[in-house]
Amino acid sequence: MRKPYSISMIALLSFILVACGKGGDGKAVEGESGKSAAEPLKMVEFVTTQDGSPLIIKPELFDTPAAKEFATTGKNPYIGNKEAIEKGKKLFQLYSCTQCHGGDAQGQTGPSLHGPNYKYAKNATNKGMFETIWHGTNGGMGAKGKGLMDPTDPNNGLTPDEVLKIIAWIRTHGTTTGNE
Amino acid sequence: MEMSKIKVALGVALGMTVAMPMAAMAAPDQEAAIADPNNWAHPRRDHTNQAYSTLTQINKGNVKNLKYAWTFATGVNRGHEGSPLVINGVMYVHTAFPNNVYALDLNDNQKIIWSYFPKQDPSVQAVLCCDNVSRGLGFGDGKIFLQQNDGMLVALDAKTGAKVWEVRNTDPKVGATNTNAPHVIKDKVLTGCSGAEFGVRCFIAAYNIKDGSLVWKAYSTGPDSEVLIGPDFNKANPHYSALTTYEDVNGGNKQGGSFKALPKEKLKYPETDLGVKTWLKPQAVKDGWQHGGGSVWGWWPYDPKTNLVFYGTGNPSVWNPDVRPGDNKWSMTIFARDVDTGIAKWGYQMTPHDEWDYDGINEVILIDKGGKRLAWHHDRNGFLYTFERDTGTLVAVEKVHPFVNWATHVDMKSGIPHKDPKYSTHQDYNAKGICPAALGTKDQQPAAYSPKTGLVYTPLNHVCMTYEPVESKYVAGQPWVGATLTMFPGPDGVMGGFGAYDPLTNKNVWYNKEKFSAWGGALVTASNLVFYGTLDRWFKALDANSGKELWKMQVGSGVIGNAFTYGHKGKQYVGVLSGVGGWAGVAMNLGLTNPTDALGAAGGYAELTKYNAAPGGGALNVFSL
Ligand code: HEC
Repeated sequence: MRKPYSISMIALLSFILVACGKGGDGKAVEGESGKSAAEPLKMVEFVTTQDGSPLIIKPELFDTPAAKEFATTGKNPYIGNKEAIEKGKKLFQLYSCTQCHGGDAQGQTGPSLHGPNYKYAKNATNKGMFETIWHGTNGGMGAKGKGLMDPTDPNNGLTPDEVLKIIAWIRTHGTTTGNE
Repeated sequence: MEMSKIKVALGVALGMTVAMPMAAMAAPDQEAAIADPNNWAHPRRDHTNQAYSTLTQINKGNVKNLKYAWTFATGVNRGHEGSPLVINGVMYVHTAFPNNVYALDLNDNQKIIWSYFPKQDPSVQAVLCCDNVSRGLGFGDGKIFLQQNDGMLVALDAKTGAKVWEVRNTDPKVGATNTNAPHVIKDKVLTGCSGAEFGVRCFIAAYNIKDGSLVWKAYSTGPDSEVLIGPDFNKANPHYSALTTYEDVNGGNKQGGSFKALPKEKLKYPETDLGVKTWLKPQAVKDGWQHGGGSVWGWWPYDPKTNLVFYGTGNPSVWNPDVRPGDNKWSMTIFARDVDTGIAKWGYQMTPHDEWDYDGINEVILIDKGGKRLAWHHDRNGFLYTFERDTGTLVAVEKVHPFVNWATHVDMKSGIPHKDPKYSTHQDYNAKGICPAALGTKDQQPAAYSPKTGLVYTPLNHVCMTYEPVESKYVAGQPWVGATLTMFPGPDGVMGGFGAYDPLTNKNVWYNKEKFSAWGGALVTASNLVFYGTLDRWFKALDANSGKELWKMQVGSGVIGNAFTYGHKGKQYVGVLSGVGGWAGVAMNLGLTNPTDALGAAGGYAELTKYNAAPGGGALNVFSL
C-alpha cells in the first residue's frame, strides 16, 4: 500500500534530490550482478522502488529478444531505435501516462520524466525506471506491469517489452540514455 | 414519510417518485442567514448565484482607501478556490487538500472557535485531475457541510465542529472524486462528482440534511430512469431531445471528417433514453455511456418559485471523440431539476459530440430582467447563453469574444452550434489553432450579476490550443484521457480578461485585458463596484459601469478564489482566498519551476513562476476602509 506522502512535498523534494547519473541509490545497481542460478534465463535482480525489496517478475513475460536481453543485462536495447520509440510514445498515450506526466512527459500533476534529476535517483538508469513503472512508487504512481495494474484483470497492464519501448521514448527527451 | 429510503437512481418507477408528497421544509436558519446582507451564507451569497451584495459602505469614492483588515494563513499549500461563509459573526474557512475547516470568531479577533482536520488517503491527490482544490462549504440546519476530495460528504455542527454524520458520495478507487462546494437547498444538501478524466460515470446527488441519507441521484449519462428524465422533459423545446444533431461529412469520426448541423426540420424528436442512444456503436468501451464522464462540480442556483435547481455537466469521456460517435448525451448539458424529486424539467446540450473538452459545468446565474425570468450561462465553449429559466428556451447566444472559432454560431431555432470543419479533431491528427483552449473562455471561476446595472461580470480566459486525440485504454481508477494538448495565448497576445455583458443580448459592454487568465470568481456590490483576483496576485476593484480600475492590492499568492463581502459591527469587509493552483497553476504547484518544464497543458502559464512562489501558499485576505 502507498505510504502517506503528500505529493506536493514530493515534488519539492525532487528539486533537492540530485541523481548521480549512474543509478544513484545503491540497491538498484547492486542487482545487476544478480545470481539467480535457478533460472534458465540468468536474470538481473529486480527490486521495488517503494522499499528496495526483491521484485519477482515471471521470466516468461520477457518474451521478445529485446526483453530477454534486458532481463539478463539490465540494458534497454530499444534506446535510439526509431520504430520502438514511436511505439513507446503511443503506449505512453494509450495508458494515459500523459494525464499526469504531460503529453511530452514534461510534467503535469506528476513529475517531469526528462531527467537527469529524478525523484527516485535510480530512474536515471533503465533498470531503475523499469522497476518504477512496473511496480509503482510510494507517492501516487500505481504499478503498470502486466497483472499488477488492474486488480480486476490479470491480463491487463504493460508487458516488459512495452515498458522498454516507453522508456526508449522517454529517454529521447533527456541528455542521457539510461544505459550508461 | 421516509424520503430517505427512496433510492430513485436504483430504478424506482418515476411515476411513484412524482407522486411523493413534497417535503417542502426549508432550512429556516439558512433562509434567515441569507436574508441578512451582512452574511455570506451561500457559496455565491444567495440562491440566485449572483454574488451580488447590497452592502454599500465601500463605494466608488472611498474604495481607494481600502486597506488590509486582517489575514489568515490556511497552513495549506496549493490552489484555494471558492470563498468562506460568514454567518452571524462566525466565518467558516476551507482549504485545499486535506480540506481542513476553521470557524473564526469575528467578535473576538478572528480567534479559532473550532477546526476540523479530515483524514484522507494522500493517494487521492493522484486522481484529482486538475489540482486538489475544494470550492467551499454549505450551511443549513445548524450544520456546516464539507465535501472532501476523497468523496466523503461530512456534516459538522456549526457551533462545535463535531461531526454529525458523514456519507461516501464518490469512490476514488475508480477515479471518482469531488471538488465542489455542497449546496444546501431546503432540506437537502446537493453534491456532485468529478472524474471525467478517469472514465467515471458522474451524477448529481441530493442527501437529507438531517441524516445524510440519499434522497435522489441523477446520472449524466444512461437510461432516462437513471438520468431522472420523465415524460414532461423538454416539453417547451422537444427538439432539445433529438436523436442526432449532426450529419457526418467525409466519414465524420476520422481524419478529414466533420459534422454538419441539421436544421430543426430535419431533427427527429422527442426521443427517450438519449443518454444511451447517443453513444453510437462502436465505442471505446462496450457501452460508452457507462464510462461517459459528465462531471458535476459547479455552483448551483435554485429558484423557489419553480422548485428548480440548475447545473451543468462536464465533458464526455474519453477526450478522443473518434471512439465515442454520437452526441454523447447528457454530457455538456444544462439541466433544470425539481429539487424534491430530482426529475429533470429541461436539459439543453451546448456542445453535442464534444471534440475539445469544453465542459458544460460552468455556473448558471438566475436573473430577472426586462420582465423576463432568465438563466444565464457562460460556457467553456466560448458562447454566452441566456435561457428562459422555466422552459429552457434560448433567448440570446453570442460569442464572448470573436476569437472563438470552433463554431460559427448557434442556430437559435434548433439550438445546435454550427461547427467549423477546420477545427474538428481526430485521432492521431494534431488540430491547430483551436480557440478557446480546453480550459474554456471561462472555467470554474464564477461570474456575478448586478440587478442594479443589469449587467453580468465575467472573468475570462483568452487561450487557444492544439489538440491531438490519441488511442487510450480504459482501466478502472486510472486516468483515461485520450488527447494531448498544448495551450498558448490567444490573438490579443494575453491570456485573460474581464468583461461586462448585457444578459438580454449577450453583447459586450466593456472589456479589460488581463495578462493571465482571470481565474478568480467575481463579486459585485450595490455601490457598483466589481471585485476579483488574478493569478499574478492582484486583488482589484473596478467601476461596474465602465470597467475602470479603482483600486488594487497585491496578495501573497495568485488568486483563484472568489471575492466576497460581509458586514460586521457596522463595517463592510471584502475578502478573497489566495493560493495559486487549479488547472492553470497545477504544474507550478508541483514545483516544475524549470521554464522548459512548462505545463504541457498550458505552456503560456509558465511565466506564473515569475509572480508566485511554488507551491502556492493558501491565505485568506480581508480588507476594509
Ligand atoms: C495518476 C497519475 C499518474 C499516472 C497515470 C502515471 N504516473 Fe508516473 N508518476 C506519478 C506521480 C505522482 C509520480 C511521483 C511518484 C512519487 O513521488 O512517488 C510518478 C512517477 C513516475 C516516474 C518516476 C519519476 C521520478 O522522478 O522518479 C516514472 C518513470 C513514471 N512515473 C512513469 C510513468 C509511466 C510510464 C506512466 C504510464 C504507463 C505513468 N507514469 C503514469 C503519477 C502518475
